[in-house]
Amino acid sequence: MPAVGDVVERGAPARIGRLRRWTRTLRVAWWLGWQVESNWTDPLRFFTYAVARPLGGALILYFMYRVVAGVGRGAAVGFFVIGAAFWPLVVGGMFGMVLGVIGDREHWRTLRYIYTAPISWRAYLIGRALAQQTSSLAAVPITLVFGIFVLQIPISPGTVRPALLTAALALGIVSAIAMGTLVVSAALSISGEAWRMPEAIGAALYLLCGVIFPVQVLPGALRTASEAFPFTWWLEAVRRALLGPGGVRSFPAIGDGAVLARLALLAAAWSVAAILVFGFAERRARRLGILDRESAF
Amino acid sequence: MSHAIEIRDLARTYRSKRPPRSGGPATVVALDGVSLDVRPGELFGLLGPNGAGKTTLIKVLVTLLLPSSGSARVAGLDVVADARRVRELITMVSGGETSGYGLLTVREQLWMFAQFYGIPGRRARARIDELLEVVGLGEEGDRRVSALSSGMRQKMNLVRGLVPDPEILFLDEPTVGLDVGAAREIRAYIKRWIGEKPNRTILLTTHYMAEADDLCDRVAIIYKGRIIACDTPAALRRRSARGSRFVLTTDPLDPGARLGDLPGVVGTEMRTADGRSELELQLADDGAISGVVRALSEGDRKIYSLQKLEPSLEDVFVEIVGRRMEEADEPPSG
Repeated sequence: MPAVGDVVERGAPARIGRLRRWTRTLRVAWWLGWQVESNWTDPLRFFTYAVARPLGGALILYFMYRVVAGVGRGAAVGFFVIGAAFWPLVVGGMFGMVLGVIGDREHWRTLRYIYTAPISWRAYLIGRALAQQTSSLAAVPITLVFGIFVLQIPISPGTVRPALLTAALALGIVSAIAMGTLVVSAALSISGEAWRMPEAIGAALYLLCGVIFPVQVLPGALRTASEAFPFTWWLEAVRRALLGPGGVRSFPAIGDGAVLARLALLAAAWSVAAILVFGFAERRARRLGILDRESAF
Repeated sequence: MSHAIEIRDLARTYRSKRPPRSGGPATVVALDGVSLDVRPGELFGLLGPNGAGKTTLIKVLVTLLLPSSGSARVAGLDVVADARRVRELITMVSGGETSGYGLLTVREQLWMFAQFYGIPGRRARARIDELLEVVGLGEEGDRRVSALSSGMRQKMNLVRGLVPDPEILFLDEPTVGLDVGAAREIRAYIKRWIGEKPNRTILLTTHYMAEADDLCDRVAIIYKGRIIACDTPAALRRRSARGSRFVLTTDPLDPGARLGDLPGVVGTEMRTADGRSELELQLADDGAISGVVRALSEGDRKIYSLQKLEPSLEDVFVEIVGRRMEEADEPPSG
């Protein structure tokens, strides 16, 4: 029988730079997250599911708007189609992170081995979140193309501003990961039922952050609260980047630069808060001995 | 590095899930002032009943759990302050669980962990294939993890722990739940693995006496969070205060035979069946057996067999704790 020692020269794992470790962890975690996201069925079924899910969501909203508000096309439809197309990035970011903890802890039972590997656990969880966001992001053009050609939302090469869209998208992804980090920090202290948190928090933010209606229609206190979340500004920036000046706006009095600046500021603030809270939650879980304690999935 | 593992006055308490009884403690003591040294190259066993604190100790050493007080160093590094560097040098394998990403194939899963340990892809693949052959999973590499039996998963997890070729390997009940053949294969491979390089160290927890006896260079017996004995298995057995024990088969003896009156005979138990008597003798020392043999010969009794009974680790445990291992199980802490 072969001896293991013939293959391995050195006992200790390779020591590599911190940044390299971080990016390697991110890449492998993304790969794992994508496998978990896509490997449950054959590629054709996965593609059908990936297309049908966002289109179904957008169509439900469209018919609700038509029946309730009598709005059938134009800028108002563009407002909620863009909201419906991009919002899964937020929920996906949160969900991917929570799966990285709850799924690993309760379902796959691998958390203790992932945690004790020489990786950055934060990079691992971000990689898992990015895998979910990749799936959500892939559905965005499908929804938008459907919106343009079937629902006739006013997006054209003339209205699209790529620089603003790219910047907004990047900051939105960062914000979603920050929110996911906060959710996962709470999930570290909660039983297996914590996997419901992204949906619950996502639903609350869905109403609060102007996904399907402008935030001006909210009561005063809720409007103030909505302005504290980066997603409100992110959706505003994305709509401006796609619909141009003709689109419905949540903050018509504020210029594009100021919207992007607020988004950047809030993304940074929420990210710092997320890092601090996650560090505290991780240490607390290790102290209480609940980091890998299974409950029920 | 003088010790692979160095533990000083380590304590760990949990908050109790159950409401404290009137006047009872609100905390559960899982580790109570544990001090231990494990030498480099040693296969060290931690033997104790369920709930004795074995897994808690391993969790602290692999940086999953913070100690309540005391200190622990692994490969010379503090498990609290240098947790990240500790993780580069260790791996852990727990038995009795079916961990693994069911949607991945065995090779994908092992490759993924190899990447986390920074092993270059080609070398990782070669090592995975080699280790899968060693544990008899060579044909299963492309099967999904979810399709493996629990024994196969356990072997796969052992491979996961071995692929990074750690300096210190933590094995938490590695053969629990396995069939006899699979457990024997894993024990044999563990022995071979540690023998291949002098700097490899294993800390193994088990509640199987025979496993500890068979595998370990030294054994610590842990009970209620305390180390109550620590030595080589042979030295621990010698501590047994039972003196010398022999089993002897002879021609049928009268129930009134007074072997107990012979010099050096501390106690006797006799069973008669199939036309022969089996005597279990407790002697003050080995030399007293000659008096018993002489008495039987003078009484014209043939001796068909004579066997000296070595004390087992189970005997040592019973003497120290006052109960058998399986009677000493504690409910899970926390």
